[in-house]
Amino acid sequence: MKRHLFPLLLILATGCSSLPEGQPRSSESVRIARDEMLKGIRFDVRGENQVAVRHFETAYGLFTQVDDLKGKIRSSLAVARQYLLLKDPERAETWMTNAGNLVSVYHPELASGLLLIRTEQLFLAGNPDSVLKLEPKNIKASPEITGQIWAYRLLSRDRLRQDFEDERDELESAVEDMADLAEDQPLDDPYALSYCAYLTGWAYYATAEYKKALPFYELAYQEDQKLENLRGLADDVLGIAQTHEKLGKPDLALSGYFRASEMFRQLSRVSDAEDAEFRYHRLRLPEAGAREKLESLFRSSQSENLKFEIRQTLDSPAQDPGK
Amino acid sequence: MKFKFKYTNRIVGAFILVALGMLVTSVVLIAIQQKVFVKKYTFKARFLDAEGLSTSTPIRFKGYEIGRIISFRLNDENMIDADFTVVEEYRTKIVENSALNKAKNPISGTSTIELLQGPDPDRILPEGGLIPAIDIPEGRKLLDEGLVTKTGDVISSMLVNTDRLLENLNRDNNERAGALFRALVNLADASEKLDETMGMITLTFERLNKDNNPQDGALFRSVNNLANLTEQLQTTVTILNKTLASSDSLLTAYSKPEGLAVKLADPAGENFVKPIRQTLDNLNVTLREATELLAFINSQQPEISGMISEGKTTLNSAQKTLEGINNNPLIRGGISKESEQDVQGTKQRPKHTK
Repeated sequence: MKRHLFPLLLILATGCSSLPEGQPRSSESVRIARDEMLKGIRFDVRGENQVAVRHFETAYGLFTQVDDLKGKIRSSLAVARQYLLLKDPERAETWMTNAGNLVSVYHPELASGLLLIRTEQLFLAGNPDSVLKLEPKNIKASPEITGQIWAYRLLSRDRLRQDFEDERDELESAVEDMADLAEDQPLDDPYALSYCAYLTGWAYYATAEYKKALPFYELAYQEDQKLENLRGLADDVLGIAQTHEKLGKPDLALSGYFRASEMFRQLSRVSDAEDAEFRYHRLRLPEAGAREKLESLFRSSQSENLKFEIRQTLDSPAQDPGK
Repeated sequence: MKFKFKYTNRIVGAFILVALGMLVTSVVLIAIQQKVFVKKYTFKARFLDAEGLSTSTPIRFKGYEIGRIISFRLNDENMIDADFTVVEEYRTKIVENSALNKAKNPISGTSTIELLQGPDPDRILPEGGLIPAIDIPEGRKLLDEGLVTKTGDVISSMLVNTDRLLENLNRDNNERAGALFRALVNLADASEKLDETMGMITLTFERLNKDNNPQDGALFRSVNNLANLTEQLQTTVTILNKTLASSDSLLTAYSKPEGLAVKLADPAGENFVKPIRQTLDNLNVTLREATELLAFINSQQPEISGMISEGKTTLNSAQKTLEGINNNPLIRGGISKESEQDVQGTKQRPKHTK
């Protein structure tokens, strides 16, 4: 036995020497992975989910190479979200389970990310009741995640025709936190601030608090300009124009509707463009030629809802602009 | 005549007494002059070196001797700690933030120590206080902060100033040392930049002389593209020439239009010409019928308008009926409302319809 001990030890030592060394965390890989995440978010916002998922999966691969667990969790959740949008629930569930395991074992503080995606999942599936059953109060999260969770809750309340003032206040608080945070450092999800600001403005508009709605729409507009988020910008401009109309500023409203219509046309969002044009001509109705424009829009539009509104406008007696 | 020493003893005694008196007087006068009987106050001083120091080196202020060095020694920091006394008359001249200027006249070889008085004459320095020389850091700081002003004899000052000038001339980046040095530094910087600019100009001309340099700046790319463009233009002109020549031949052929294409495709007129004619005839008949139909529809427009109007009324009634049912408290909320937004992705933004 002793005779074989030395060769065995020699083999063991040789084997150990050939083990890979602990791979140092490469800041370059992390940087590239974060860039991939941002690219994925941009494509997600544009609705190009196939491209977005590729970027998120690349980011996941890079985070795995450097064993960045938080990065792996975030990228897994992002991939899962894209598969949900691509109507592939099985893959989405696999990625969510993957992220959930890492969260429960290593980073329980990132459970909020899971909550957000569960909320999205339920909301997209058309279950606002279930969204409201998820309890977000005790979750510690970044303002981006908190804001988005409250945004989905607010939209769920709206779908159920319920008051959403509590949700709106929480959302507003998250927007303020995000804006403060964004002054010091770039946000992990830069589109979250503009989205949540827009929704806050939208919520105030819904309760006829137009003066409060305007600054949030304008904040969303500023942030979308920074991000060159054309889709968001068009919505922001439309929201601002609607608010100006309600605040009795028809000139500003007209300018906004015109710009919004142009932007929607560029984005090939025809029904939104027609809606903005309808509002534009409706506001100019006392002027000559506006009625003809509305009739022309009535003939060209494919939207029955819009046609109904146009017909109602044309049939109703003329009103002063801004009223 | 016989000389008698009758008063010899008295004369000698008087002589000795006078001599002793003169000696005592001299000693007293010297002591008075040396201010031996005047009360003295001791202070400490610190110098960078002991060059020119002795135990009797006077300390002057405005040309007056106000005290003397009484002892000095090398300390642990390799500086010279000295004690000096100041007579009572000038005690009040020793104020806080004062400094000493030890200067050696290079021609006469004598050393002088001058008191440079601090800015506030009311803040008398306590006895035993330290007064630094201006050649050690503490003293230099007082000088730099303008708390004391350096004076000295003309030759020493000139030598010191010359020394400083030479030192500044050898230093780089000392634009704060005065207008001359600012000008010199600027001149040096300008010459460096000029050198750099010349290098860039040389490089630019080298690049301009090169061909096909796409990785260079926009100007070079433009020049390069222009060169390519002119080459392509030349090619295009050649092709255009050929095309025009071909067109010329074609026009010559079409100058006799006996139905080149028709002859080519359908020499007998059975395949295309006759069927097309027949189709056109049929189309003409159809159009006539369509015109009649449209005229009929036009004549029926009031009825159609009435039908539409009735349909609209019916729809309005149906809408009111449904609204009534919907508002019925018994079944209110029983009908699920239609989703107002088409959610296709995250961060979809709802819009207000009103």
